[in-house]
Amino acid sequence: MTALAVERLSAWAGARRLLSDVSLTLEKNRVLAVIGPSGSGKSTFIRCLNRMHELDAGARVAGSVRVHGVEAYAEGIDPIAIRRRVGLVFQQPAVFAHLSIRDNVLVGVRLGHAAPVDADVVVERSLRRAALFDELRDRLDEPATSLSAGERQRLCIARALAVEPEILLLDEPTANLDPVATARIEGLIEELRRSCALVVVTHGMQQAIRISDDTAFLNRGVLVEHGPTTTLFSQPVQLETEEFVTGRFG
Amino acid sequence: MTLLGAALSTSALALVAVLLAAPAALWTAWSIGGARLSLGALRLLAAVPLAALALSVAPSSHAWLLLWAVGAYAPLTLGLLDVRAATDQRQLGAALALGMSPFQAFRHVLLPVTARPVLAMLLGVLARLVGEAGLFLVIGGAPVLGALAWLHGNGAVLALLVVALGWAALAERLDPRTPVQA
Repeated sequence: MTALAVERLSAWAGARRLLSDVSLTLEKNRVLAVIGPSGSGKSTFIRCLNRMHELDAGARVAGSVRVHGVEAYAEGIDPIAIRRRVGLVFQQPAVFAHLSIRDNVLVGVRLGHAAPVDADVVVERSLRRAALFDELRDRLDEPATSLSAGERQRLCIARALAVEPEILLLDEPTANLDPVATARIEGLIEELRRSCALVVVTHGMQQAIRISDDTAFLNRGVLVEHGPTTTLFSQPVQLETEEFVTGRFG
Repeated sequence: MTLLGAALSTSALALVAVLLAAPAALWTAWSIGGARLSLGALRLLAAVPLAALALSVAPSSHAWLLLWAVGAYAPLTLGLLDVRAATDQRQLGAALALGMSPFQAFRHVLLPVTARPVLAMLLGVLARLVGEAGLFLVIGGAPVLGALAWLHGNGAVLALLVVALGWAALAERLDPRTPVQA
C-alpha cells in the first residue's frame, strides 16, 4: 500500500528554486532515507511533505504530494490536518520548556481532539513507542528540560507519535547525539516501521544502510537516484550517486 | 511664548523624539537579539544614567544628551531583548509541525514562555513613565523633558537622530546572523 506518492514536486524560496520535479513513492511500513550533500534540498523536501515549507516567507510549492491517496496540496485541504497525519521531528530537539514531560506528550493530542483523551494511556503508549517509558515513568511531572539531549529527541518523537501520524518525518534525528543515543534512535526507527512509514534525512551513509529500505539521493534540489538501499549503495546507476556514496564529494 | 505654547511645543517635540527613537530602539533590539550578545554586557548600559548622575555631568552638555538617549532607551531595549531571547523559533516550529494552528501555537507555546519577560518589560516601561512624571512634577522635567527643552532651545534635534542612527548602525555591524539554510 502506497503511503506517500510525490510527483513533480518543486519548491522555491523567493526566486530561488530549492527542489526540481522530485517524484518518488514510499510504501507503508518502509523507511526511506534521504541523503545528499549540505544544501541539496533534503530538509526542504521533507518540509514540503507536511506543508511546513509554505510557512516560510516567500516560499512556494508546485507538484503533488499524496498521503494515502489524499492530495495534500488540493484546494480546501487544511494544512493543519496534513501536519497531524504527517508528523515531523526536527534535528534539534525542541521540547516545550514550560511544560512537564507528560504535558509535552499530551499537548498535540489535547489541542487536536474535540473529545477528551485518556491522558495516562496516551502518555504511556507514546513513551513506550519511543522507548522512554521505563526510563521516565517516575519523572513524568518533571520539566522536559531536565532530560538529556538523546531523551529530548525521543520525547519529541513520542510527542509526534501521540498524535498518531500515518507518516513520520525525521530530519537528521541523530545529528547531535552520542553513539549510544544514536543507537537507541535507530532501534526506535526499526520499531516504528511496524506502524507507519518513515522518511529519515541523514548525513550518515552507514546510518542510511542500517535503517532504511529505500534511499533517495538528492543533489542541488534534483532527485538523482532513488531505489532500494542495498542497490543504490552497491550498484548505483548514476555516476554522481557513486561519487557521493563513495565519499568522493559531499 | 506663553506657558501653554511652550508646553504644546515640548509635547510635539516629545512626539517627534519618540517617533524617531522608538523604531530605532525596536530595530536595535531585534538586531542585537539575533546576534545573541551577552545580555549582561548590555545591561550595563542601563546603568549609564546612574553613572552620569554620579559623575555630575552637566544636564545641558552633549555628553548628557548622549547619556540620556542611551539610558532612556536601554532598559526598553533590554526588555525587548529578553522577550526575543525567550522566543524560541524551534519551539514554534515544533508546535506548528505538531498540527497546532498559529493561534494555538501563540496561546500555548509563545505566550507562556514570553509572559515573564513581557511582564518585566511592561513593568520597566511603567516604572519609567512614573519616574518621568515624578521628575517632571518635582524638579521641572529632567532628564527627558529637560533634554527636550535643551534640544528645542538649541535646534539640535538632528543630534538625537544621529545618536539613534549610530546605535542602529552599530547593531547592524554586530549582527552575525547568517541566511537560513534550505
